Amino acid sequence: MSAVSHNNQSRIAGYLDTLLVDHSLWDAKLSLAMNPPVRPLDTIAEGKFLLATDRFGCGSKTQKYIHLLNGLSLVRQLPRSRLRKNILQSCSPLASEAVCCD
Amino acid sequence: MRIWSIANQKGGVGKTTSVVSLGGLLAERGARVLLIDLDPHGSLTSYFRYDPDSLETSLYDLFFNQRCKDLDFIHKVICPTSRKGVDLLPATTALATLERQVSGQDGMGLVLAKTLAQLWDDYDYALLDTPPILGVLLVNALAACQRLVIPTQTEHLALKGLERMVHTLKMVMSSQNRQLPYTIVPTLFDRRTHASMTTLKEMRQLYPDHVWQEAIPIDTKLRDASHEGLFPNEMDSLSRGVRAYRHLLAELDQGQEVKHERSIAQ
Repeated sequence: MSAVSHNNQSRIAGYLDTLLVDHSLWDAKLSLAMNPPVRPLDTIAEGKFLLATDRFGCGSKTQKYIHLLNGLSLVRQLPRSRLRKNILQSCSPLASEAVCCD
Repeated sequence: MRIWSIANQKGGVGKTTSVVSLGGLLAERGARVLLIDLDPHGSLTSYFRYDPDSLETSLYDLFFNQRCKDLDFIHKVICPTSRKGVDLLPATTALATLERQVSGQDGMGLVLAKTLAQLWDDYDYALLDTPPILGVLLVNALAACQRLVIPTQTEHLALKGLERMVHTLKMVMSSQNRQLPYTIVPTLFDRRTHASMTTLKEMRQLYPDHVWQEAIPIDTKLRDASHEGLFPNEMDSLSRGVRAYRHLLAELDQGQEVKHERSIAQ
């Protein structure tokens, strides 16, 4: 059997992740983030709460963060534009942090 | 509802024949079956004497305007077949343009899963006939199903298609974070030929836990049934091909499938 090249692998992974992203899942997470539970165990610091995430996608980490942000309703309502791209880029560290809290 | 995809990233391996044969045998037991044609060539649609060039509506239309959640519209697209209890969600040639129109859009691989969620109580089985290339239609089939059946012709070139199919399956499982059982079904088997025998042996060595222990033989009765537009078991219920498919169905029915609740797809 032959190995699939890294380039092919990452292109197919990104393609699959795009097709299979489930917005309802991420919207539910956003809802949880905006209405954090009051259970003490979920509080990591004053005013900060754990945002539980699931592993998603077979692509790179960046791909996953962007999917997370794409899944957030507010960002998704923006038309595809430079503004939306800038928001996604500037929010990337936040998304990274959210994923790290998994 | 149990949802099985019949797929291989190589053409001419017996996908449509497998869908029709298994569908006919399920109907024989009294099951309510939906056959779904995801191939722009529309072979399954043509099998039942519908014309993929002239049908007004098809699977294609469910990809737009949230129609996959509109049960009334879905029912309008579904066509009856020659056998009571078996229906067809047909393809039209317009499906060939789908890739260009929707492939860059988020979540377009989940349209069929959402459609089947609407039909959950209407059918006992859904069998999906897929195109032989990696694209939005094949991804929809893999994302919607609970089990994958991979018909593989017993000739050397078919092994490459099989390798690609298994690789794609693993990537989809990784993307969806779930496991999907699969069964490799040797097809068009002719024990008189060296090629068939050696390929079957190689297949079993490469995928020891996944290759069905029997094989679907070459059987002209299957071709005759296609010519007449009949289910193979209606044409000749004791032919070699039908008997082999009956054994396969018994095997598939015993298999454990992933939990894929209706709610997941909605």
